[in-house]
Amino acid sequence: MKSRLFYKIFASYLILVVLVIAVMEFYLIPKIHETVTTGITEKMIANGRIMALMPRGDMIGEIRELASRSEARVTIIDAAGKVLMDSQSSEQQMDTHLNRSEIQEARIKGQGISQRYSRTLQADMLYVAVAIGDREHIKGYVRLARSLANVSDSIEHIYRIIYLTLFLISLPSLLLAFWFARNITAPIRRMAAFTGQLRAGQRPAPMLMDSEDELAQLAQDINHILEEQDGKVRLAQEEKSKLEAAFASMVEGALTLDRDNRIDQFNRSLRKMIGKRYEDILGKTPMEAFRSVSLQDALLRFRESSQPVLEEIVLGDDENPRVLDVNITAIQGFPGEEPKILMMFHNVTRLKQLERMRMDFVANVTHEIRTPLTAIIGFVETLQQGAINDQIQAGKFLQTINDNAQRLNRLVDDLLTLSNIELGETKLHFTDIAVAEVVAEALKTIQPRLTAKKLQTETDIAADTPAIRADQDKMLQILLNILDNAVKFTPEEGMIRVKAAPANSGLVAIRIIDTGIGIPKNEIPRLGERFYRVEKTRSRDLGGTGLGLSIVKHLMLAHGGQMEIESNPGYGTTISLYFPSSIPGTESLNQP
Amino acid sequence: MDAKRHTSRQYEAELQEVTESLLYLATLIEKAIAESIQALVERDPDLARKVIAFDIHIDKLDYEIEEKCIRLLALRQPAARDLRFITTAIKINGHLERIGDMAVKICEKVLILNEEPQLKPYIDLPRMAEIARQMIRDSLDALVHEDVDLANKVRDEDETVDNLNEQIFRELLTFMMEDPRTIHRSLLIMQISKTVERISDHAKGIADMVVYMVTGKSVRHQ
Repeated sequence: MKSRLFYKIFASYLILVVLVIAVMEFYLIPKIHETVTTGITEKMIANGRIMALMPRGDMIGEIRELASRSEARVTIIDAAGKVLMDSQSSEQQMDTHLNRSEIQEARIKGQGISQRYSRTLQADMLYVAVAIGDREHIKGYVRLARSLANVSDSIEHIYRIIYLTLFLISLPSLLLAFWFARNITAPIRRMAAFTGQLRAGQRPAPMLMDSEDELAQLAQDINHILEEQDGKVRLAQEEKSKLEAAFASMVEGALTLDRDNRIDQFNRSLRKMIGKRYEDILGKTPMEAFRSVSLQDALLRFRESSQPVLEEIVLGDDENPRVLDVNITAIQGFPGEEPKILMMFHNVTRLKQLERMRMDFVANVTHEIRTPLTAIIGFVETLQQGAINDQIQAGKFLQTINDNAQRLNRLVDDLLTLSNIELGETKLHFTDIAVAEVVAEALKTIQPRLTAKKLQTETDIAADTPAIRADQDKMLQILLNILDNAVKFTPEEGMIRVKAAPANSGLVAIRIIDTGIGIPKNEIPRLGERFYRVEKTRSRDLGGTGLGLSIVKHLMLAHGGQMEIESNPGYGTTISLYFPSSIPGTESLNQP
Repeated sequence: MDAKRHTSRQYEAELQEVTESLLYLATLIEKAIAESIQALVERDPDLARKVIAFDIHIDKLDYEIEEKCIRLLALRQPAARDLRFITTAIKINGHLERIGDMAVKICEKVLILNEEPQLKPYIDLPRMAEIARQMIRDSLDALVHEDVDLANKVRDEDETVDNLNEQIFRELLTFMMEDPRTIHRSLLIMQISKTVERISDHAKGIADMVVYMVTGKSVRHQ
């Protein structure tokens, strides 16, 4: 397929040639025809005049003589129109010629011309009439007639020559046009093919032009621009992949909104924070994806003020809340475009938890200390005000003061123990301990309280339970703390089971199962916190310091074991303790 | 509305605004339910009063959404899908508003209950409320994602709540038979339980509407 440009150039040449032919056809040729006819006419008129001047007497004879020698037809007509002589027809058969237009013209002007089709001769005829005598006394007319057939022939001959010439000119000029059009369009077509490839995403080899004209310059420029472009694109690509890598691997969640308020980009951290599938986030609005009223309000605030907005939002339910700090800012795109919105999410759940634990701790510690102190101060004041003299009352009061002082002492002890464990200052003396023995000892210690609450116990130590590596005293403390809780929170006539069995990866599991009131599921993760109480008032009434499980948790960690709590509110709690066992052979590795 | 974008951005934005407002309202209502139950469990009268006071905002939002829908109906004369969406939105809006009122009802009962000693630790009731809350969330998610499966899951969940309600009813009955002094409190708790059960009914109603919107088939009375 030839290019359109080729057709344009070629067509303009073609139009030029056609125009030349048309000018000849419509202007030159009629002009030639006219010139030839005029020449003949003038000659005939001259002849006619000569004949009209001939002497009268033998005029007809002379003219007949002349006519026979020329190719023209000569007619002599008298003033009344009667044909006196005709060189080609018999005069008698001819009617009056006075009404012929050339005769009419000659009667007025002295000479007349007419061109018409003669039915007699069946050809285009040229008639010329000249009056005989002067204008006032016309005696007759000489009329000359001539067939134009041979004139047409000669004109046609001229035409043929002209057409041939035209053909001879137009053929090479069209060939020239064809060649020229092709030559100009070929490099342009090559460029078009080149850019077409570029557009299709291919990267063709640079264009080489063998000429040195403007097109070659253009090709060179295109090559140059492309090279520069390549460099820029590579640079941008590198930047982009760097940014993308940063965006994707950021700990902070990030997303951008398009101008329809839909999420058009986000990273993996964000997906983890929301906990939704990829397709449930992309293209959704923040409200749809987050379902957070505070986020929506923050976004609205940002849209109104155009100032960066910092907001804290909470996702997830009560059991598993995620606290996120959201920072909303605008990112400027191209000038004139509406800026996009960037949201950065920082997960502060852990920070919030720590903050709350710290605040709870301070509040609890003061509360725990103040309660016994208040009692002590109160009773001491009572004693000072005279109760000291009442022996019986004073004894009771002193007992209470002692109880509360003991409680304070226990609290301080517990706190010290805990901080020592946490600081790693508690030295553990690891020995091999038989589980059955230590369980029996713990149960024996707690027996009086079991009896008081009419609790039943059941011990089930699997025969293949290996000895565990632990500190004898701390081990006992762990068991006592847990059994203490079990006793406290199990209603009368309940049941406490202690089971032990080997567990996976060289651990020994000791389970203390009670039929107590249980712990709601969402409280379980917080049980290891200091002073954390499931029900704020009750356990304190039961005399605990609120540090028992905290101590257990940290002691277990110090032993290289762990504690798991499962509970079914209303039915009971199972606490599983996993201790490392002392399998012979591993001992020497652990204790150098 | 992802696949079929409207030629008019304005119209598109208006439809989206309805969805956004519904989600906003639903999220507020979810919070109201959670807080009313929290007020019950933690015996926190201040929280209960807060929920009651907040209902004005919910009612206002409900009114606004209805206005928006009616404006859309009048000015845009939506057809086919959009018409179904808007009628659905109006109905969902109604359900949400009723649920909001129910959270208030629960709080009113909580205030009375708090004046008497606790009858028993609440275990099934919070669970039931949590399921109902999740049903609302899921039904709105189903609306956003046009997810019929999720909507059907919500509709099935209604039975779980009904069963829990009956279980609570039977349990309280034993309390009342053992000790007539617990009758007043038991009845209040029963009413709360029944209210939660009705919240789940409304959530099911929302899910029904979502199924109708997506498939064009009404499943309400099946």
